[in-house]
Amino acid sequence: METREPVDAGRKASREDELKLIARAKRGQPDAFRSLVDAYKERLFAFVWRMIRNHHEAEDICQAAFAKAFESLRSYSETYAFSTWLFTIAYRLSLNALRKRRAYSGETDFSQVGSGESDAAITLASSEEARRLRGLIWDAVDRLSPPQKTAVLLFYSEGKSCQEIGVVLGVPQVTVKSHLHRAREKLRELLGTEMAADWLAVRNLSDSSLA
Amino acid sequence: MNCIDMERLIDPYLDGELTGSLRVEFDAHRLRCPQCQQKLSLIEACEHILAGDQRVPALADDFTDRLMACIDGHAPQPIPLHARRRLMIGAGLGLAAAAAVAVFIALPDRDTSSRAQPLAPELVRAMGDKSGVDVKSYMDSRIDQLYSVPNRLVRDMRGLPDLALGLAAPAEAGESDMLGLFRLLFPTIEGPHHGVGEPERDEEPPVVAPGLDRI
Repeated sequence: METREPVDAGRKASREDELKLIARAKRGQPDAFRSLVDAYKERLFAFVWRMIRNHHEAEDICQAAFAKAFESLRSYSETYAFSTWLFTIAYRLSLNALRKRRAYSGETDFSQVGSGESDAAITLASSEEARRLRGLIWDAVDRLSPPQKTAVLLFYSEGKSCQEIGVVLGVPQVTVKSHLHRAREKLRELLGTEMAADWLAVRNLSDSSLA
Repeated sequence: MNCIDMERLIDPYLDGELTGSLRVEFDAHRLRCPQCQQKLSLIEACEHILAGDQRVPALADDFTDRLMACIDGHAPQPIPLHARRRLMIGAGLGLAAAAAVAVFIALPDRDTSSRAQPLAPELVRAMGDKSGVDVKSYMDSRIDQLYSVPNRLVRDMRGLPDLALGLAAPAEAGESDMLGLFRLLFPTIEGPHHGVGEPERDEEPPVVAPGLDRI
């Protein structure tokens, strides 16, 4: 399966080691599954937290996702990456949580999106301008529909290919590209007016984020 | 390349799918056009922040311990090797039994094929009229003769086309076609009958059925 270059390859166990761990976990060895949890818990939590924007709820969803993965481990197929399978479970649980919160509709209820809460939990850059622009960007991402937001997060933060994202969302690859296209258009539309005069600052911010 | 073309190619460019001469023209237009440059820089900055900003709330230290405690309590026990073997043997026997039942049900009812077909009523009457001949004994003896004289049977079969032409005569004489054919095949039955391929000289020549004269 096509895979893009991941953002932080060092954090990922090699594919071979991972398959060995999965095989041992399938045979009922708990230490093997613990190793898999430790390998993916941070990334999974980051993804779920950005979807849900609530710390405790995101943690509960991650726990449920891992528990579900453990129960269904025998049905896991090596056709897909383990992370793709795990993120699929987490995505569906996140959607359920969003529906329950009644924040899921064509238009997201921004009052429920706790960007202020996230700012309090995040270690912020000293630059006030950088903080403002970063907040604007994440607020704009939070305004996307769940499929578009998921596509953006998995594409940029997780480095997943459109094919893998299609597996998570349960849609064809061409639909994933459509989600990304519409997400980019929306981001440009939402950020355009706010950042038109600051686009140089945005560029400097992006350069500094890479440093 | 103009701004409309560039707008159309932004997604392939961001996906890393823009190559060759198109990529060269895209980069050239970007350098020339401030509006397109701003548009692209905006989205590229977003992408860089999304990819690079890993700041999220810290996960609880006991996350894995709590999860494993929950899982251990509901962990399915692995099946012991000896139990697995017993399960496999039992499953194999069950499959074999099911296959045997299916084959038995699917087999045709051989009794019907081997059951003796009742003789035609007129044939039974005809046989019964022939002065007390034991029909079954006769049939058995006749079958034995047929089996023991294959050459004669072959000769009889060769004469069938001629015999068929003669079938019209017994029907016209008031006898059933089946009885006439029976007499032809079993000449020991009493009563008027034709010899093998030869009409009785004392009888009138057979009347050919309409249409058969053209054969």
